[in-house]
Order: sequence, then structure tokens, then C-alpha cells
Amino acid sequence: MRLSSVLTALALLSGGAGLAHASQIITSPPLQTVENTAGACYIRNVGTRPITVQISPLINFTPGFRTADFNNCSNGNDGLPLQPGHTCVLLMNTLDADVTFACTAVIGGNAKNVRGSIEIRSILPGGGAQTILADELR
Amino acid sequence: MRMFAALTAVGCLLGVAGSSHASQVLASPAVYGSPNQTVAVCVLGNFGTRDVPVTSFQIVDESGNAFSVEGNCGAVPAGFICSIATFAGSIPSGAAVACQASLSNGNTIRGSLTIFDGNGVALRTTELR
Repeated sequence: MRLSSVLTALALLSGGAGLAHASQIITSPPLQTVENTAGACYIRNVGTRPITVQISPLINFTPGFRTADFNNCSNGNDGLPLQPGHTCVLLMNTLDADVTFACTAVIGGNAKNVRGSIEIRSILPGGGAQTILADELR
Repeated sequence: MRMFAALTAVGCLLGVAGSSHASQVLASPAVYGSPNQTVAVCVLGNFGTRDVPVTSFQIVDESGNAFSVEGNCGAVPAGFICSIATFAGSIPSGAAVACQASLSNGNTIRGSLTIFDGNGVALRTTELR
């Protein structure tokens, strides 16, 4: 009986470790904006199974101030999961100056198999944008 | 005695799960430099004392498609680096790229991906982890 109890407890402990990946959140640090900047956040699935991604922009670390101009991770992807090896992106075509921009993402699956990046870009006079600040979502 | 044996068996199973480093993946996030980005270089460095075999090493686009690269890397020599680079102009000017490597026992490997413009100026770098 004692042996059975010990083994059951160990099984629960080890099983719990494996099950603790139902949904995980990764977030970037807040990056400072300046005049004429844009923002981007990429989520890349480096695992072998599809994952779901719900990504949101944070202005001054608060959600809901702005919606993304492009987002094929969440609503723009028709609810389709992100396939192994694939990358999705959230784009902000313009950002106000003197605020911070960040991204947070809810990963349906194991966030260990996700790589996320955030970039602040300077909008170039002739079109396009150049990355000037960057970090990772963790 | 039976309890000791059972606990040993469970311990071994957990230990194997924890030390299973036969194959591991080091991967970067997808990153973008600027419209002038032309070349991506991915480097693996080995700070250990044994060569580390590399089973795959790729620079990929946002859909996971591998670019043709120069250089190859069958193993990262101990105390040295190994790198691959895309051919000039082959990465898109308006999209992100990423790098990934599959290694055997790569605990002593650190890696980076760097994007350059046509003048060899580094635009963006990120770590593989």
C-alpha cells in the first residue's frame, strides 16, 4: 500500500510536469519609440506540432490602445494554427513617439518551441523601414 | 526492498528524460533588418572541448523554406566556429529570416544570426537558443 502511494505520487508529479503546457504567455520588454517609427512582432514555431497564437500590441504596456495594422497570427489567420517552421507577424505601420511598444502572445502549446521577436523600425523617407531596436518575447 | 527497487526504476526513468541530449535544436526568432538587407550569416561557436556534430543547419524564410547557402557545417570544432551564409541578394528585402541548427549534445554551442546590407554593414543580429 505504501509503495503504491509513493509511486502514485511520483507519477502525478512527473505527469504534471508534462501537462503544464496547455497555454503559456510570452511577452517582450517595452521598447521606446521616437518620431516616425513602426513596430513588428514575429512569432516562429520551431517545434514539430502546430500551435495557436493570440498576439496583442501593448502601448505603454497596456493592451487595447491600438489594434494591429496587420496580424496573421491571431484574427488575421482565420484561427488557423501556426504550422511547424512557419512564422507569423503583427505589424504596426506607425507608432506614436515617446511611448513604449511591446507585444504579448498567448501560445496554445509549449512556448519552449516558440521564438518571438520585437522590432522598432525607423520609417525611411523613400519607403520601407529599418530596424533600430529589437529584443525577444519570453 | 521492493519499494527501493521501484523507486530506483522511477528515478532512472526520470533521469533519462532529464539528460536526453541526443538531439537538440537551436533556433533564432525571425528577424528583419531593412529594405537594404542582402545577406544573412548564421554562426555556431563551440566553447567546449569536444567537436559537436551538426545534423542540419539552415537559414529559412517566414514559411520555413531553406535558402541556398555557402559553407557547410558537419561539426562545430571544439573552441572554434562554423558558419553558413546566404548568397548575396537572395534574402527578401521586405521579409524576415531565421536560422536553426540541429545538434548532437549541443550544450557547449552558442549561435547567432546576423543580417547585413550590400556594404557589409550589420543591420540586425539575434541569438539562437
